[in-house]
Amino acid sequence: MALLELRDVRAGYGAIQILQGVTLHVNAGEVVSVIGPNGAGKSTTFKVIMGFITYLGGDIVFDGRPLVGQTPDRILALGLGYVPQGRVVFTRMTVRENLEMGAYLERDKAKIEAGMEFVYGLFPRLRERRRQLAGTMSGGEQQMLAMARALMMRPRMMMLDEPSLGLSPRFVDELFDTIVELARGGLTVMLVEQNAARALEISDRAYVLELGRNRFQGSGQQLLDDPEVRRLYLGGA
Amino acid sequence: MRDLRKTFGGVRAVDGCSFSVPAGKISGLIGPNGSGKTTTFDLLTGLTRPDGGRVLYRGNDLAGLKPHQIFRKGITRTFQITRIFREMTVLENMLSVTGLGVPDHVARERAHELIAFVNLTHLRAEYGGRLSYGQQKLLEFARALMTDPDLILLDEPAAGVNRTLLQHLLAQIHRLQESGKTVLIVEHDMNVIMNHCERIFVLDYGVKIAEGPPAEIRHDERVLDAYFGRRRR
Repeated sequence: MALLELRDVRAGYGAIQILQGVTLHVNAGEVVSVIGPNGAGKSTTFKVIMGFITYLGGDIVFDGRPLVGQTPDRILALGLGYVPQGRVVFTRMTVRENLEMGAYLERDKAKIEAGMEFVYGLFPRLRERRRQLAGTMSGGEQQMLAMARALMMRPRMMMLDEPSLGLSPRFVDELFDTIVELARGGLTVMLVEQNAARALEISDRAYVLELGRNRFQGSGQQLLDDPEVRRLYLGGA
Repeated sequence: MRDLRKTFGGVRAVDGCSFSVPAGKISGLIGPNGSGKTTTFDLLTGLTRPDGGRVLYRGNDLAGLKPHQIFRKGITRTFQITRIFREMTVLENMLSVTGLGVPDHVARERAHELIAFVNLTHLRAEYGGRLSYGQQKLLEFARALMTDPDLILLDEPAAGVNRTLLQHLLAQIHRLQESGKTVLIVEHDMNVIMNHCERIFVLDYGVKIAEGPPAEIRHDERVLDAYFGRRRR
């Protein structure tokens, strides 16, 4: 059964409708990518799942529960983590404080410490830098911290919005390795990526959106090899 | 532009770019997010000073000129996020352009003509902040034309503009070109670029990776790679 399912979802920003009816699902344990040219509605899809923008219709179901009308903290508590675009970390807080913020819904100190150990295990560099101010770290390290913070609640599924944007090639490699490692550990992952080739390489399945609608779907490999998908990016499929 | 360079805190936003915008034509400047398109516009209009290279306009070096001096030479632009005055009316926005060197009544007449040119006559007394996003873009476009410029730089004219307004805007861009103006458009909407530009320049990581007519650019493997990403293995 699908862990997350969207049926004919329509959404936008105020009066401007971006999603014209998007349908997709993510099964437990899968890595699923959402790709498409600029303005396709990729990030908007994440934002409507999290309840940040104007919902106009359709169904959004996570783990059997409807998400429409839920607040972001409730959604987080249900086990759906979200890492927004642009490495949003608290720059004037230390690495450790950032991670504590990720567990703000958790009251049990022992669980917070266990979460901390879990993410330090995944990202040893964050342990080394735990007392450093997040704003003084490189872009790649900040992206790691943003992911680690989302993992503090031990979500069942994580949504990553453009994780590779603006990262140096070395960090891009490291980032995709980390996503693969998290998926092997049982985490369900949905990612939106402008670097479509790299995202498809590590995806079980993917959806290609165009102008707020489903355009293609298939296995990561199928879409990677489909010249039509590539051509879509230059406006002529 | 010859070997233009600009670095922001270690990031080479524009990294040795050279290209010639053909006079009297509509050209497009494209590239993935962060490829240096808006920085290029900022360098062309003096909002940012280059670290190296030259901008030649009709053979004259624009290096070191301030934005208003470049503006007086006949180069104008619009912005990705419109910069109109929200507390002024449409007409007042148009008349906010100074240094036209013409009598007031001529400036007013020109303002009215341009407001009509972008179909905003019925809204001329409305405050800028009350216009729809698309209408604000049309207003900024009209205002950019107040100086009767020769080179018009448009930064994402299609973003957030509905289809009807966009068709109108594109038609007016063609009319400008037919009257001898040069237009350079930065745009993510590939249909706008491919259907309306004669020549396209493609940037990736601040470097020009391709240049040519739409039919060529559409099938250029380097351009496809820049947009789609490259496989690791």
